[in-house]
Amino acid sequence: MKPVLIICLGNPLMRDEGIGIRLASELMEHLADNPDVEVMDMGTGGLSVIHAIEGREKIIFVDCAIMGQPPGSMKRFTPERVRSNKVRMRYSLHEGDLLNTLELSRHLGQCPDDIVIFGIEPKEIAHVQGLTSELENNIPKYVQTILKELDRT
Amino acid sequence: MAKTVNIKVNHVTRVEGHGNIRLRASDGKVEHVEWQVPEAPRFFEAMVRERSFEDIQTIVSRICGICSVTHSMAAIKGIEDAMGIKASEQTDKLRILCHYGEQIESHILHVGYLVAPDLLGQKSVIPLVKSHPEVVKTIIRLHRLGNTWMEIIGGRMTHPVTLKPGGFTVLPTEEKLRVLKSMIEDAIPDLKTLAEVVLSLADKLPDFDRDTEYIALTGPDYYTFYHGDIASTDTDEKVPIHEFERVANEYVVPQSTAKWCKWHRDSYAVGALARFNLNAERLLPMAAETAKKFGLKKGACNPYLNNVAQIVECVQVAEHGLQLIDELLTNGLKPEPVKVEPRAGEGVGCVEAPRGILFHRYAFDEKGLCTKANICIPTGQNHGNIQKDFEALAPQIIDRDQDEIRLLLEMLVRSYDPCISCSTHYLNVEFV
Repeated sequence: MKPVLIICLGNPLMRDEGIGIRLASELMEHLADNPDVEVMDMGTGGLSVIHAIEGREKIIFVDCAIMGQPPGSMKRFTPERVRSNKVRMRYSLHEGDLLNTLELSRHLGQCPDDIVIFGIEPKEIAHVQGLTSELENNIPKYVQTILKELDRT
Repeated sequence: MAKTVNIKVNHVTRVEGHGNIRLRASDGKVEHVEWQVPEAPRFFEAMVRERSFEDIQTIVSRICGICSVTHSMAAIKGIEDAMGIKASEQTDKLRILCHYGEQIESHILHVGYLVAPDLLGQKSVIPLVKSHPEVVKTIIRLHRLGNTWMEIIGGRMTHPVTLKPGGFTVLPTEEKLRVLKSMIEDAIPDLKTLAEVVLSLADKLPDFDRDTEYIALTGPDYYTFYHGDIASTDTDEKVPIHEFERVANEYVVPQSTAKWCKWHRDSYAVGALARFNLNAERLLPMAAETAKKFGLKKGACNPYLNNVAQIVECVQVAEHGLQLIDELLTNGLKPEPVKVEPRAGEGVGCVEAPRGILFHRYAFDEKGLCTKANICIPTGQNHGNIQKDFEALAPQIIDRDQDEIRLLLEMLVRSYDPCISCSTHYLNVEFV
């Protein structure tokens, strides 16, 4: 098991919601030969994150995030720095929330301490394939920022 | 006790998927009770149009993070049907095995994360870590089994990459199958423990029967999620999957923006309880024994028992999964490259999603480009039945405390394990 895991989340069928998955393929190319870093496209797999992070030293999440920032902005934060605005009714397994999943993992005592989230503000979330140009044009910048994070470890 | 009740449970997300509960009563009489849901998303059908038959599995596997194997298999079966391809016995067995990984993962998540907190009097699974640590650890271990199971056959934990029209891009190694076999064997005690826990709490499941039409796939020789014809508890007729529109008759009702489905009555139910009611005699011994312990019998029509049927199915897929692995290892895995030549045609794929029967229909032109798609999801088929349950249940419980009424209605929705808002996952945060 590689000590560092980059988990990319999102859905490429939902416009900018797919940014994480697009960055997964870019990062996989850059890091293919890296012995310490694994990149995973976990789609909208939700609670599977619990198993993927167990036993790792550092986790980096890459996900679309509504943060009240200008579209295309990328922000680096830790889970403690944010509060989720999602309303969860627990009707359905499909209303996943990463912060909630991490909370469960922490309660179970299997969550690594070193967790960083890169959130990217969407321009549009809709049933369309492909990113808006605001995000598409920033891909190289996003990749470089995430790769720089690896130097911190 | 004559009283006034007004329940409004709102759930609104930005893009799609909300389920609202409305109940209004005065003088102890229910005036209005409603399950509000939006139209099932049809956007995905537009996305596959004009795409090559080779790209469709990849697209539909992203419709849902929990049923991605199910959507992949329905699409692949539909494409093979249109292109005149018959999957080999080995491919069928591996697909069924992969699908079982998804069934167990989804059912365990549902029973463990959504239903167990209700039965144990908590608001979510997180407080259960403190109050019932062993229960949560059992659930987590079983969930991990489902994840690893799908990874071994499907190539990764979610959104499988090895399933293709004609067969598999990569076969699991025999070594990996042996690993999976021993993992399943090791998980049997956990499955029994989970069944015992739910059994000890079964009296917390509301006692509410409503005579219902149940619809599921049925096959001649095993408890099927993959082969067979469409069957109903209302008739002996078996309908070939090619005629699914004859079963899933969509109609519009004034009080709902979502279309309802009906066959012989105003609504019908799909899911684990439907499959049990139509296939219980084909359960393997351990699964049949589990059903017996719960007193679950064919003809059960308490929707809350869907959760019990899910546990029975977890045992069933573990048991049948072990058999399939043995058969695959005995025969030896053989590479079976299949070249699919596109041709014009139309095809239907049908599999049982964890939450009920799923239909995909596609048409292709001579280059193999999709010209038409129709996806009929189980949750859409259940909405009308949830409403009918609401109408029958609400007058029976209207004298209870408002919070209890609300909880019972919410638990009813949860028992159907609906797929709501499943395609998006983005974070929505504020900095603190």
